[in-house]
Amino acid sequence: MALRNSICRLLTNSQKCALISISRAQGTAATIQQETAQDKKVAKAPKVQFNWQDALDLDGLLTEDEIMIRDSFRTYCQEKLMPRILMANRKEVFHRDIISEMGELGVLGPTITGYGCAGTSYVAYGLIAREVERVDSGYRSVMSVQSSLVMHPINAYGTEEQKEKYLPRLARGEILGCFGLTEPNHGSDPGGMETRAKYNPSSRTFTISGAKTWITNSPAADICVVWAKCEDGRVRGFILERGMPGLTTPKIEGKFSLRASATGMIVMDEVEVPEENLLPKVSGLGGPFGCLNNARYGIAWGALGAAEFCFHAARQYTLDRIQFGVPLARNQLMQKKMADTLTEITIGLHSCLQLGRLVDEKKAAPEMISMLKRNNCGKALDIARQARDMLGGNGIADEYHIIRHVMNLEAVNTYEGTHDIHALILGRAITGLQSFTVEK
Amino acid sequence: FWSSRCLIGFGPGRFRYTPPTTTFTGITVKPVRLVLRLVLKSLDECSRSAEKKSENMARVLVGVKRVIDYAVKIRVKPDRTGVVTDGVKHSMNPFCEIAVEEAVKLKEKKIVKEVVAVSCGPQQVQETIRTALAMGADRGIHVEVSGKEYESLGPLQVSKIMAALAKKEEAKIVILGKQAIDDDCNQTGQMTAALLDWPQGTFASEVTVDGDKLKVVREIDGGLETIKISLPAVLTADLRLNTPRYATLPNIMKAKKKKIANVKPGDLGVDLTSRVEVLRSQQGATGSSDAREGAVLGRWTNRRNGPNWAFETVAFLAPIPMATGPIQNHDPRPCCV
Repeated sequence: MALRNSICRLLTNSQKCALISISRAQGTAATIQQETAQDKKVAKAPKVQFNWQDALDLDGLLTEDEIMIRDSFRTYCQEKLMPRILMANRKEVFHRDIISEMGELGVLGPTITGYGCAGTSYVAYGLIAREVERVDSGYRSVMSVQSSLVMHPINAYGTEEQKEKYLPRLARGEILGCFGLTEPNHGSDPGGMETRAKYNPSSRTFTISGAKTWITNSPAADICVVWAKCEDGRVRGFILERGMPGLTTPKIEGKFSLRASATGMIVMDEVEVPEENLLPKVSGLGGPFGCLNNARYGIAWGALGAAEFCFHAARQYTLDRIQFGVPLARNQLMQKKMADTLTEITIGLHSCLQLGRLVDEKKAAPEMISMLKRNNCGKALDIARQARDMLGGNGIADEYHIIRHVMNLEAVNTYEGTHDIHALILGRAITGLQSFTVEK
Repeated sequence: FWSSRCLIGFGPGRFRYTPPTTTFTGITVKPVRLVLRLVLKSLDECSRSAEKKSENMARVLVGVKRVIDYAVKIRVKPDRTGVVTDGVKHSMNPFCEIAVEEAVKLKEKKIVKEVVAVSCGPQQVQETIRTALAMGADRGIHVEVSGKEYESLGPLQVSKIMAALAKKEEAKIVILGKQAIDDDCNQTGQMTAALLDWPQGTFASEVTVDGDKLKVVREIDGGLETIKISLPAVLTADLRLNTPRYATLPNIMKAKKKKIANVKPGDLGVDLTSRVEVLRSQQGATGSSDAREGAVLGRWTNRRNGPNWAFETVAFLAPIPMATGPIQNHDPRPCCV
């Protein structure tokens, strides 16, 4: 009855009549939404909001302590490392304190059990690397070298005495280590190394001569894990300590990448190393490669931390900057770059998680790590360059941090096996044919 | 222990019988031995009374609250019944972190023997209790409250729970954060003290043990006030009490093995009915992007999120210009925290 009255009023009122006829005349191809039980069903299932910060819900796949470790360490990195990095990078200063601070937090050598180390999973190690690299790749290089390239070989290949002597102090950050494999004339082919170790049976020492270059931490390091070829042609590892006569570690000046970490050479001029300092449980290139795989795994996660920082910074900048009356983020070219960036980071992170779980179950092959290190470093470098471009002129100022990541990722893409070398590793695994050398 | 006393008393001649002879001071050895024995006995009693003292200050109860993380941009629910909490990042209330840190510091100074972390809420609060355990608490108590009761859980109900637990656990000190960053009530500590009829040291910026009393320096509007309160007592932590430690990796791993007991409010004889009904929630008046974010605490001003409506209730403070990072067009008024 009430409805009939109102309809009559509407139809008789000439002004409103037009409205009704217009609405009736307009047909629509779209299906008319039925306000029925369907809506009630939709209301029950909560609508999932897309979270651009964690697109495929990585958090849901992590264990509680992995999340706690990551959150706790992220707070430390943002509060303690971020304020230092601007000047450290600009003035090329290496803050030795960061290793002691990280040692206090127990993040050095986290995957080792015992000897004052935490004994976490490899996934947690990856998350730690990602958080440090979010601040700077140089800091993460220092942490990687200490954890994977110094503590890991001593733990995996050393004697019990060596472990007791060095690991607790390395874990606390009391002493800093470095890893000597690369030589001035032998980078990608460590097998051709010219550093020689001669055994002297009379004094039970080895005499090591040679030079290593591009060694992270070496100017400030207290111990060096050096790989040298012995008389039988096999490569073996030795622990050298600062103060041994003949051992010098000159710094490499004029670096434009990883400026916050000290890089140098290890020059050995007939250094006498007692035979107790030999790492006995490995010979051949399997030793250094085992360590490098450990480090590459961390780098695969870490590169994505740098990429994420560049992505977040570029997003914020383009939202804030107004040109032609609209934020830069309104432009299609910007959004395309951000979409590509988000996709690569998300895919990279989830592959890293799967790799981490496989490593924890001891089901990981070195080629898997090669694949992800190569992919993530290459993509991160690309993302950083694009982010720098999105920031325009401001992108070249180190106050905006992105240019620092661009510079750093050039080195990260190169060290621990260049982009091309990992491609050859994968090519050999795929085809069975090696293409490192010209011989068959 | 007897042998060690003998060693102290007799010196090199301990395995030989020395007949009582006069020493150069004219006192015979036998009375010297007697005096030494008396001295050692009194030292013994002193250490035993110190142990009793530490036994008296056995347990600290720390309340921790799981709140929406300070960095999250708060959104009001479309039906205006509250704030969106699903899928939103939560963490421990910053003042509760300071409270846990103070409790752990008291344990490290050997003033207390055990730190118990308590939280009320659904299953998720166990994460918050684990964070407290990772910071150094010994065990946790999870008071299970969920659904409607959790939504209406306020300072009155929590203080009843804390009071019941303090009596049950025979705690000597209850430390809480001064307020929670989601409701800004600043009531739970005071109510707990009232229910227990214990003295309270609120807004504590310094706590020292003075014999069997606590000396508390409180931050009040006029400056700093120092009070001496007897134990047992309730303390609420203010910002400058300490700087909470980062949970180290080994501690996070150890926290997995520490126990969290589950308790129901009914077991403690606590009635959770709320006398408060939320009629409506809405965004604060300054919704424009022009509004500068407020900061209650000096630690969290270095962020660039939009206006946070929870801060509307507190005095507004301008943001601190960032020391590093891009040049901003913000008003560079110094922040007064």
